[in-house]
Amino acid sequence: MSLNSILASSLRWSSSASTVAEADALLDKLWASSEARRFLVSDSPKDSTTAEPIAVRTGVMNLAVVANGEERAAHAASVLATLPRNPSRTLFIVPRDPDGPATFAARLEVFCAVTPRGDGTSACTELLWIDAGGPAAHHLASIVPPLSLHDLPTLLWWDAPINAAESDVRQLLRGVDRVIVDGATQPGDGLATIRDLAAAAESAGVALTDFALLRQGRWRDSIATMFDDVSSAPYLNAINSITIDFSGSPTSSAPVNVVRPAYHVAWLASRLRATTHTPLHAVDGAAWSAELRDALRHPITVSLNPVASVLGAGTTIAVRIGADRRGDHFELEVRADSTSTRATAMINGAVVHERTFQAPRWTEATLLSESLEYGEVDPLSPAILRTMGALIG
Amino acid sequence: MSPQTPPEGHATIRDLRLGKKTRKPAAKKGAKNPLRAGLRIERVPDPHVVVLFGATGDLAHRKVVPALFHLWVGNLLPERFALVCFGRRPFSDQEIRTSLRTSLDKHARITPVDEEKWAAFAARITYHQGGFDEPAAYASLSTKLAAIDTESGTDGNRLYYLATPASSFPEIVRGLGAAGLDHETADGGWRRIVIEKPFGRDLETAVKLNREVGKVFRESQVYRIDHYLGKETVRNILIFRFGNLIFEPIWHRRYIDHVQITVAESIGVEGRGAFYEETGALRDILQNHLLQLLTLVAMEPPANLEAEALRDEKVKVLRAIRPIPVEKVDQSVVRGQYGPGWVGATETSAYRSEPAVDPASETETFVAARLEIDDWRWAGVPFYLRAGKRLPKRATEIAIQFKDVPQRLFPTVGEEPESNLLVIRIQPDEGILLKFAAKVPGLGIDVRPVNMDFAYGSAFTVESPDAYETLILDALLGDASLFTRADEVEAAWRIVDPIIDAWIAGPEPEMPNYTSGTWGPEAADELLTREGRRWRRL
Repeated sequence: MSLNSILASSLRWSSSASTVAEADALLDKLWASSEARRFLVSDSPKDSTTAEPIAVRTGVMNLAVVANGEERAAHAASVLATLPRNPSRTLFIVPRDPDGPATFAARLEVFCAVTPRGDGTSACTELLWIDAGGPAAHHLASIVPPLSLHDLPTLLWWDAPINAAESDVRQLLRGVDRVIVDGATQPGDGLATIRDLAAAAESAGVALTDFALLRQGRWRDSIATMFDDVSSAPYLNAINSITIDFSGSPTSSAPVNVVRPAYHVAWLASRLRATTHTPLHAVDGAAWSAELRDALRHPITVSLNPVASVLGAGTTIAVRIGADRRGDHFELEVRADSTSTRATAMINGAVVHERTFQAPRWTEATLLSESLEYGEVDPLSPAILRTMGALIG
Repeated sequence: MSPQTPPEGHATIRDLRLGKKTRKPAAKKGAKNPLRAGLRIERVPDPHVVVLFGATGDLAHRKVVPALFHLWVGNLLPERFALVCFGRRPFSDQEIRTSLRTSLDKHARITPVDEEKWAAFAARITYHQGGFDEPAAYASLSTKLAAIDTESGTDGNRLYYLATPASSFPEIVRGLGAAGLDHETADGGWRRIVIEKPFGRDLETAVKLNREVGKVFRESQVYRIDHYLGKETVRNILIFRFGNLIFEPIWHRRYIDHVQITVAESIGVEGRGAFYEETGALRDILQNHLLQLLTLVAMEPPANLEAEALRDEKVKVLRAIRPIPVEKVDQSVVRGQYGPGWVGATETSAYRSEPAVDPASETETFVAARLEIDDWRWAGVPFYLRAGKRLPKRATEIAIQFKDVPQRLFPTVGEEPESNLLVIRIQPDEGILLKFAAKVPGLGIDVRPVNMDFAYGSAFTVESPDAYETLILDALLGDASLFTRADEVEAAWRIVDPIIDAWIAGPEPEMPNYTSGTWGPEAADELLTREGRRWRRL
């Protein structure tokens, strides 16, 4: 059930609360008995004469969105609205005025839409808009768990810069099942933030989903498929260079977030069982370098090179993988535009395999949908994040 | 080589049954590619051409092309993709595109149709006119496909999709073979053929058809499609059974009383009278959909999820189903035909009044059967199957009725105590329901059955793809797990053949024998009531 459909829903309910306990009690009461669910009212006049509504809460998940301001919260809601179905309960939390007095205000809304079951049952989703001010803004761990539905997974979408060193963040991680961030929007080069967050998440036993890593799925699909080809496959065990071009100024010393290009290296290293010999370090202005060792301890040089581009800083422009085997030099180059990726494999400069993949750049809605439904079972993410930690050093 | 010896590289049906292979299987792409591990899509399909036979027909417009288009929209088809529509009628490329585009408005899963995506998809569609029995049409098709390979880089990979009446399958297969369009090339170009049901009219015709297909294509190239196997909930049966620990130990005659599998439709033959006159519910639903669902419920855990391992287990179930002797068919099988009635507050006509239906037709629009599986797991557990048209509602489900507790300690509310029940709902409102006993709130200890209900629609944030999308993508990826193997088809016919024989030999049935909008003939109820059971109220 999507927000699009529930906004035109048959039943709705709203209320407000000034404490967490009050919000929890109001919603509990609504679902405690069919008598209480009579408070769900119909927008449609013709429905007002119908019998008692059969309304059930969906059993999908809890989602807590920590948004950097009301505008971002509204934006998050609009992204959620594009999903085919919604979490059972969504908390939009806007921390504000950290130095002011402790405040808590919640607007509670329930929307229901008729299911296709044919028996008139409506499936309902709950939205809680929460303003937390002053010290309460620093104690989100005291808000999210009590307002989460029991026995459903709780996902935390931290749609703001995150500092895993903060005690509240670490406590919050202990109370959720998965945390979703966007490494590409973290301040500075973003590497230390991701390293610390990955470590904190692992320590708390919580899965971490990074939009920045998901975005590169189309690159990974293309690269992996190119190595399915019989002419390229033998070079997979002879890779000795990985070069990533990313959008940035080659001459500027201003920090550019390089989480996305670094993830390419972390993925390849984790799949090839390569280890970090020299961690990533800045060289020549905005470029980065590292050295890996493959499973047989052969060196693999890593370069992240900034190139001038109209795309956002830190966006991957090209991935090049080099390998030498029995006197032949292999090079795979993958580039992408907004709708596709194009991969070219060459041996000694001659093209041996070329493919274009229909693979559009993912929208925020796609990223969120993927994160909500598949992040938990993404078998790649933990290994990549661990490799990323070692790569960052 | 004796005249009977098949050409090199071709397996006889007997070879296939015995598991012999005459050609070394092509190396499985990506099998040892460590970069492949963990990716969401196992493999992006290779560049390819889909040749759609019967492209102007209903199935192509309603299911196949919308599925291909949705795969395109979902970026699950390669950039180097082409669709060649093969049909008898004269169409230009532009006319077939316009015709398919019009159909998309009616049949697309995602609307409105993305015009930009459609334009890119349509640019890859061409039409090839020819009769299925004209050798010249295949020769020119061969030339055309070679040109597409050169111009579009489709690498010689071809999927032939037979969305035609079953009577055309042999001539199309022969035509493809005679033109050399079945040969897989040394540089890896694959050739696969998707064949729609019905696969034969009985065992004899199925064996014959398998033999015809086997003369041209190796079994590994053949994908016999039963779209039920592509449905999300059907695929979930394996996950449910073998991905959870708690159900498998009780999936056994010790705990299960019986199993009911229902495929109920509220619609009639909907203009397909001529087709239905040739098939009937037994051939149209029981021989394939119902028996496929039964195999998934009854099969033993496969060693792995490879196509052969899965299909081996399904075939074992079919072979373990106790054949119904011709003389006892009337005790285990009930057929029916709908008369006039009311469905959904609409007056409906009798089957015999449908267009293209013989006014004295004996074709069954309803079938119910009681089957037993002779193996250690299921001995003594009846499987009741039913399928029908013009029933009160559309519902497909598998109901596992557990046995009663050995001793009832608590009084129940209602007329009779209910045992545990597990229902796998396939359509509509896909999901799984577990019925168990709970205490009624109050001072007493009254017990009432309650439902623990999982619905796909309220538990996931993603939508299920259409079954055809799943299956066509699998065929493009070379995964035959959800397709029916030759011996599987034949094993299913072996179960159905005695029923057909008995009906042919028996007296003329009294038709129609159920009113539209009811749950079939009363004899179907008696199939269960005489054993102290009843069909579930759906």
